[in-house]
Amino acid sequence: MTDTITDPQAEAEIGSAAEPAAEAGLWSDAWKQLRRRPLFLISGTVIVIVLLMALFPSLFTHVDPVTGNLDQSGADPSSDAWFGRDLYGRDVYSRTIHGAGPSLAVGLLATIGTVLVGSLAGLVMGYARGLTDAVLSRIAEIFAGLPFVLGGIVILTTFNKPGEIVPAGRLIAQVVLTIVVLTWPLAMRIMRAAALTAAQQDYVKAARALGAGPLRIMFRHMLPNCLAPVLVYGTIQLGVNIGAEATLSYLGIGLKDPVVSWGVMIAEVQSRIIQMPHALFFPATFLVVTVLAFVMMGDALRDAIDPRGR
Amino acid sequence: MTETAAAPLLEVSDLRVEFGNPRHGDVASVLNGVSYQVSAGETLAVLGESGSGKSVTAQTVMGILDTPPGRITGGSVRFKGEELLGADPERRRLLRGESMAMIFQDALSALNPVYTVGAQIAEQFRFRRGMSRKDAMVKAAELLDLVKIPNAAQRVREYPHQFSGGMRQRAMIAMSLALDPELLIADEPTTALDVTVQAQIMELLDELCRERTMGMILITHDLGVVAEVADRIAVMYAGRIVEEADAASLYAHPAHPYTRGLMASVPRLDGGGGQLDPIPGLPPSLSAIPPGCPFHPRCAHAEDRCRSELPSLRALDDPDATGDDHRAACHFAERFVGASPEEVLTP
Amino acid sequence: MGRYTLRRLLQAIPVFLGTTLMIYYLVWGLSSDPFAGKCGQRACPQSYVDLMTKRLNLGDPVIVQWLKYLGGLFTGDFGRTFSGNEVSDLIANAAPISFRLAVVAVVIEIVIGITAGVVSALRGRSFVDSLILISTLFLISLPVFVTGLVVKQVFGVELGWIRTSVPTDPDVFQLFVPGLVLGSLSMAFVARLTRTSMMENTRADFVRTAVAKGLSRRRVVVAHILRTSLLPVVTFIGTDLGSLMGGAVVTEGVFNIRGLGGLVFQGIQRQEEAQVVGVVVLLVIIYLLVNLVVDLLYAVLDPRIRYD
Ligand SMILES: Nc1ncnc2c1ncn2[C@@H]1O[C@H](COP(=O)(O)OP(=O)(O)OP(=O)(O)O)[C@@H](O)[C@H]1O
Ligand SMILES: [Mg+2]
Repeated sequence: MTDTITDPQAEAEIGSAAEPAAEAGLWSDAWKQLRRRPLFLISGTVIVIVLLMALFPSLFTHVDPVTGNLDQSGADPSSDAWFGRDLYGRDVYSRTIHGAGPSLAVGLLATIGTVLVGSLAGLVMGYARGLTDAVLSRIAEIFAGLPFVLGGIVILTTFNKPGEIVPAGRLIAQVVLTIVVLTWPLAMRIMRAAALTAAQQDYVKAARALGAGPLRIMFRHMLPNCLAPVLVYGTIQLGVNIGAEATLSYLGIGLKDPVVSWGVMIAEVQSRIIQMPHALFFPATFLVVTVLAFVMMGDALRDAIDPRGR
Repeated sequence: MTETAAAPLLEVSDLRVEFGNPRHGDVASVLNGVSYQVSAGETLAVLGESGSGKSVTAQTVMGILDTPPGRITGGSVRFKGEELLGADPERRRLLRGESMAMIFQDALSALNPVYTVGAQIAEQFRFRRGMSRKDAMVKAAELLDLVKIPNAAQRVREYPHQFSGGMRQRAMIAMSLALDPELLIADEPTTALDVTVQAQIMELLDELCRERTMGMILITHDLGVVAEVADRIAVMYAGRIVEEADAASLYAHPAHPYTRGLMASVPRLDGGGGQLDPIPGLPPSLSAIPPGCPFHPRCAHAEDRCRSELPSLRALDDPDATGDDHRAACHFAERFVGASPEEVLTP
Repeated sequence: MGRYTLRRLLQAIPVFLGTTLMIYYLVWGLSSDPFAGKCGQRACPQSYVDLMTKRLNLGDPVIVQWLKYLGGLFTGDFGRTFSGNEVSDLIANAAPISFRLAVVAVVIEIVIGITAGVVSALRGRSFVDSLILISTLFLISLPVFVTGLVVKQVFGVELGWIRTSVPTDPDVFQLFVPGLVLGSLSMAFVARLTRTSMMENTRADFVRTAVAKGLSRRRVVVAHILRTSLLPVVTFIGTDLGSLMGGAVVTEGVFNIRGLGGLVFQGIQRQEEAQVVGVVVLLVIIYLLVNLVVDLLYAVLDPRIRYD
């Protein structure tokens, strides 16, 4: 008997593998579906705006996000600073705009890493099955068994003792890798399920019978039919990873000043929310809206690709 | 309930059902005026190609048609004279199981995998008869025994996946008999089974109908089965009955070219008949049924009249038929009714 | 059933060993000098270093230390901190609170999540359905610390409806708000999972059979659609109970709850490696055990698995 318990969360959220026969039609049908969905259009617009903020913050503000005036610590929103000022008198609006870059960068890099590692493992497992599958499954369970936040704490504090000053680049790399290490098993399960189905298809069997090499079978024949569910997963996970970065930063083990990210901003204000709620409200709103946009986008994608839920 | 003496058990007339959304313009007319009758103790076989609307008719009669996507646009279904279409849903529910019951093709998926077979039979005794769980299980075991499942007392506690295909279908039959219905609708009850088991199941159904003078609508593709158990036969094509007769006269004098085609396309049990001729072409798309006789594009005998005028189902003068029982919807039915089924008619 | 149980049990062993080794190695193996900073500004006295090295087996290679630690675990010995506390005592104080919190969260998930899922599935394509779907997306997008901070600020500080921190040994009612915050994400997943699963089963053949039997709508929905649809939901909730115990670090932090999450955080700040390893290992054991129980429970609920 094979493992009957797959990840229900993944299954419900991602849906099953797409039918391979109608691959080309699948994408164009999906696109027709999507264009009519208000949720897709709204989330697409939000994502474009946030991307612009990340790539060209100067389109939105010319105020320096890192120098502040301590005299104006915690100032309320005004025409001078739309979103008010934080503890160090820095402009919250400017910081929120500049925070988009690092937040998005960490989310994106972590997602790419998760999807690459997870998909590769899942594809190999779906192709090879047997012992390879069993061994990799157990390895994945080792990481899946660590709750995300706990795992993050253990890993990040091992490499950076509390209070240690760490260069920004190294910290970003560590945060990204931590997220990848702790979340790849989910991507793997989704890819594995899709790959197991794909491996049963007649044309894959035919390719095997004709003596195609394993790499060719996996990447030319199986992979194209496994992309849809992983793409949906990746879109949702991108949102979730932006939230994960913020959570780690909030706990003081992720990004830190002078890097500006939404999580860093929320972490800095957490003990003074009562005095300056605006310094929590704005970055938190941007964070939530951005995450929501990616999650909604993924949800719309899934609906378009897999009509079961409708 | 007012029971008129002459009223047959079930009377379906001019039933019309559509699928799809008229606002999107993708409507399929699945039933286009189906009429048939079943009397107590009688077995009516319904024949026809896949997609001709046999199951949809049965579901409409039972009141289990999914609406939407389906939509009943006309006609009537009378059970012992009582009109069912438009009747109170609660009244219809009480008729299900009690007066009419249904057996489905794929017993494995038609049984709930998480309950024991016994519990699923007992359910009707508990919730329709108010029996205790224990008494209901005893009744369930009796029913399994009735449908000849060996070791029924133990088998009631097993799950559907532990049964063999034939036993599952027997369990379905037991379930349908629970409340002693007067009408049984069997929708391809043997299609999923292998040949020897098919015969056993048909024999069981036949026996049960006889013992209980239960009316049965038997939906099937299998002409061999029909010959053995059916009293009357109705042939469906594109959502209409195209021919209806008592079994003997339909076999002896098929009057509709489609029926003749059906018979020519299966090997005859007695080894008679010439070569096997499948009917050429495909059934029409139900969203664009051709004008005139819907069968004309596939009919070797079609003439101009067939292309413009829809033939009605009318009684024929068949010397062998009992009464005016032989009816067909073909302009030229008289031409065929005299000829034997094997005779190859040249257009 | 017996073979199935055994198989799952055997599969859990390498996972247990792998996880504990990884944690042990991260926490002990990678630190060059475990005594750095332990005794204030000065270096630690040699006698103390010797005592601790012996007690913690620091002289051995990490793998041997780990094996000895595992040996201790079997006798219920989770080790001792540098400051002399038994880790098992710390755990015994904190675990019940975390457990209570996790149970509150799971109960909220079940009650609200399943109800929302059922309502949305039965309504199908209606305003209520869309509202529930969008709310679940929103909940999925809210990082727990944001929910926590906002709830605390709005309901605690501004409206004054709830207390902003929880007493040392809180009861179930005092944990209601933190439980709601902790369970909000999974609640959304439960709602969506219930909905998807019910929509699929509504079209199943066996539901049509149940209708054809003349059962009431209520009986069809509850006994046939819902009962069958809950299988994946039960699995999810069970697994979630395991991860909520350890996943509550953030919620515990926001509401000052002294649970296991806080213990890990404190252990890291005070550089009490034994405390960190002890709690994390305990959580991994709980997670694996819960998963095992859920798998077995699934087999009980779904007879198709039981007899394979
Ligand atoms: N739920 C549905 N939605 C849309 N179309 C349907 C639905 N159910 C049936 N139909 C259509 O109604 C037509 C008749 O279907 P029906 O199941 O009655 O055929 P049948 O005669 O029973 O065929 P078979 O011998 O294959 O069982 C088919 O064209 C089918 O596509
Ligand atoms: Mg059918």
